[in-house]
Amino acid sequence: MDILKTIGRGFGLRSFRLAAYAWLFNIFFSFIIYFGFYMVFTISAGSSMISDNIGMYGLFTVLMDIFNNFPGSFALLMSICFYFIILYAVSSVFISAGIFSVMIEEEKATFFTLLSSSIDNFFRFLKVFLINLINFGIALLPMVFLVFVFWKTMERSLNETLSGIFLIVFIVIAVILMIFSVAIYDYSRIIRLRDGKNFFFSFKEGIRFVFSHKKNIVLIFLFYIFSSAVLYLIFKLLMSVAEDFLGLIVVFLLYQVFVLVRYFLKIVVINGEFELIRIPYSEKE
Amino acid sequence: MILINKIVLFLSLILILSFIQGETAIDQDHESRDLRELQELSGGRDRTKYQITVKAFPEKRELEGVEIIRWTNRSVVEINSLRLNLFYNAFRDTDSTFFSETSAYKYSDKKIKKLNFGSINLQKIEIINRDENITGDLTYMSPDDRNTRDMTYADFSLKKPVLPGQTIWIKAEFKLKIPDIFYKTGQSGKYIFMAHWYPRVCILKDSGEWVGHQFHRMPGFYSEFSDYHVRITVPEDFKVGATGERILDEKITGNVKAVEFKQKNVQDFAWTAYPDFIEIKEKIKLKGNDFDTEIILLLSHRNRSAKERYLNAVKFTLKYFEENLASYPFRTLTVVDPPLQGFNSSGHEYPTLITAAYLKILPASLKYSELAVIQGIAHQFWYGIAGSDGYREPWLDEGISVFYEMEIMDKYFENRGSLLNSLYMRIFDWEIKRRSYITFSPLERSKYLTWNLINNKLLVGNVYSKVSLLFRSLKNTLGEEELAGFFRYYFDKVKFTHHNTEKMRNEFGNYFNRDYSWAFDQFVGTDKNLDTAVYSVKAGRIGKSEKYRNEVVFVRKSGYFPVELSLKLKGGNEKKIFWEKDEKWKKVIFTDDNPVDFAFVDPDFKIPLDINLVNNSKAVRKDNGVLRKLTVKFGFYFQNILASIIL
Repeated sequence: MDILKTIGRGFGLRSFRLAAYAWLFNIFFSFIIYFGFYMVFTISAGSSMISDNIGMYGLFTVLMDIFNNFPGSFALLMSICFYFIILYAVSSVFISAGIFSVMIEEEKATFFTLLSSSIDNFFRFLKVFLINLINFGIALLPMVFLVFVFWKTMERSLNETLSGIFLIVFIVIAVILMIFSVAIYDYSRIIRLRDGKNFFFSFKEGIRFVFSHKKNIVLIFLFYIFSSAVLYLIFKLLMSVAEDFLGLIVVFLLYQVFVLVRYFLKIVVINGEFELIRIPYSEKE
Repeated sequence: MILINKIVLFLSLILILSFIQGETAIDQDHESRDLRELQELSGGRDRTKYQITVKAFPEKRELEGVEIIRWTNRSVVEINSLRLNLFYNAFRDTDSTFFSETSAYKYSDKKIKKLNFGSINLQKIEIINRDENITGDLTYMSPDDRNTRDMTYADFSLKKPVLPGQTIWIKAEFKLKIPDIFYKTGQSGKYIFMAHWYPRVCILKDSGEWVGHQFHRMPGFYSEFSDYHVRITVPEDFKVGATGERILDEKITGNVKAVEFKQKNVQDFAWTAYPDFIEIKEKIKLKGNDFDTEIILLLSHRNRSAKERYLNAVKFTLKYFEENLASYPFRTLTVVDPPLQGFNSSGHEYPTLITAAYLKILPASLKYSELAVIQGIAHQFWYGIAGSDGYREPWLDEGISVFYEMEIMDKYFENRGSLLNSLYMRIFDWEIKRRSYITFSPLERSKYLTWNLINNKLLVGNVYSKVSLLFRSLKNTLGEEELAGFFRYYFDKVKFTHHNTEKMRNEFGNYFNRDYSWAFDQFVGTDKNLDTAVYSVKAGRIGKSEKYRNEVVFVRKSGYFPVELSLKLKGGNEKKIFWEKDEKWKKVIFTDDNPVDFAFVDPDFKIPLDINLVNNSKAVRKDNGVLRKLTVKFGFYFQNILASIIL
């Protein structure tokens, strides 16, 4: 019940504002993607009516032929996508710097406050992000190892029982590792801001805190996973029924609502993490 | 003198007669001594008959076999050597032609040591009605790639020629080492699947030329219609499935049992054994058969949930063929569901036996299991009954079988995403086939032997997909019932014979009473594809009048196929033209009260053989509404991926 209260405190207008800030950056980058897709489609399809005949050809065939007709280089496009994702990852560090800072200092969540906090704390958070690459790498290792062991075992003789067990074990381990890995990253950032110590200390303290509060952290993240799944199902159901009847702009706006709610749930989780570690900043002073 | 001459003549006659009698006595002696069971395989007087007795030792991964082949020289010349396929030597080591065509050349020594290779060792081979031992007269041939280390195609010199019409009995004693299931056949754990496992006589043409090849990674096969009687001894707990009818299943001694199978008029014999099969039998009555066909499903014990999927697909397919081609003529159809460790043997076909595929991990929305069954049954007709040279003309089996597979998948799943029918996407079987056709590069003329193609992609695109799409396009153009009528007529003509592209090409034209050679000459066994396009669409008002001058140009960028053209005018009117003439381009100019809005090649999408649907239409002024919708949909997926990056 305590943990529910902890999570519940995150539901509010403040969290919504923080989520909106994150969403703004997301939509800015996403416009590039939307524009990119539109360019590929229109360059490939030209003045062809192929897209108007999806019912006759089938969506798969239409997409195949459109992409087959693309006169540019897909290799170049893939490279651009790769660097784009890296750029977005760096921008997420920037966004999180502002969000975490405003939350920890309990400042007003306005756009300018968030932006200035992002600028002020970006390099601190970048260092924390870089050292947490070790954390992410270590989290990946057991999964890679499991896949390797499974592959080697099945190489000689495929085993149905083993493959079934492996899938379940792999999913469970992957979820647990992901939870702890993200939690360590979150707490590294919180402690970095809260205590003002260097990034290495924050990383160490983050690990210590996470492993001494395993149960609550797992519960918080399970809430996030469960609520994201429910959100997705509701959204999918709604869109499958309504998509064909709604105008394009309405569909686009509904998509953005979905993304915004996703960020909102993430902010609620971060808030829950804050509550767990809460020692008011003013008291520390 | 005259009397002496008469006596000599009389004695000569007696001598000749007694010789003939003697020969017959010898023949009968051999038959009764060694070939008692072969007598049961009556009918097809000159048809090759195989009687094989094999003992399996799964724990040692070995088989011991004795084979008696009754073979007749049906050519017009005498034969001085015998050609046999010893395909199991393909798995002997990495020097074989088969392995050299795989990525095995990359294997490390460590990896090679861990593999279980296989082989067939002919211990003795003799012509028993002549007391002729030809064991030592063996030469391995490698006409396909000059690989002298390949031992899959053997020539045995005969001490005496076999005259035209003469019959010989060949007895071969052999030992098999069963390999891992690298491809189609082998053993994995306790699961055994035996294909291409026995010494088999190659085809002898009427001219006396042997048609034989080595075993390749991308093989075709070409063999005689023969009769088989096979006795398999296995440990008692093994369940056995094979080509043909089971005529015996009895415990012999201790913990060993013998199972016998018999089948006439087929091109091969395959079998499987596994203690963990669940055997399910159902009968189905097909029109024109005076017997029930028994469907024998050998289900891997962990795949019980696949039972209904398999059985329903089998019954639907058999019924479909009964209505549209011919009734399946055999008494049994065995469907083998390999366990996971035997997955490399799945998705293949043998006379009256098919290997299906089921993976629990795959969602039910993916219809791969049904596809494997349906294609396997289609092959029963176009490989198993209408035989063809799979080396030189693989499309006669693969292309036509895949055509039927697409048709049946569409009907079975009632046009609801016949290959994938999920919440996110629907994909039809024909779409996947078309994808492999439009994305392969026509790098070379495909009238080569199958293994000469650069890779599997080229084989699939050229042979499976292009030919099947050609027939699908012909079906849409001629009419479904019309094409079915042709196939019924043609199949009836060629069943249990070997047909070829030339024959089909001629019969097609004769049946429809028009020249359809262009279809075969262009798209069967060639590197050509079809692309008809709208080149330009123009509309302009004529001076100050209310009339418009409309001009549309269509081009045949590649290939020829009679096609419907459509010109849609503003205001809703439509002009349709059937473009039949074999010309590179066609300009259509006309005046109308309305300007042309857009032009279409093949507006009803009857010709999926067209390699590019984008240029099949062109608008004067295009509204990109649908493209915007697609943009928003796909953009949203990527936006979500970004949102998943840790905040």
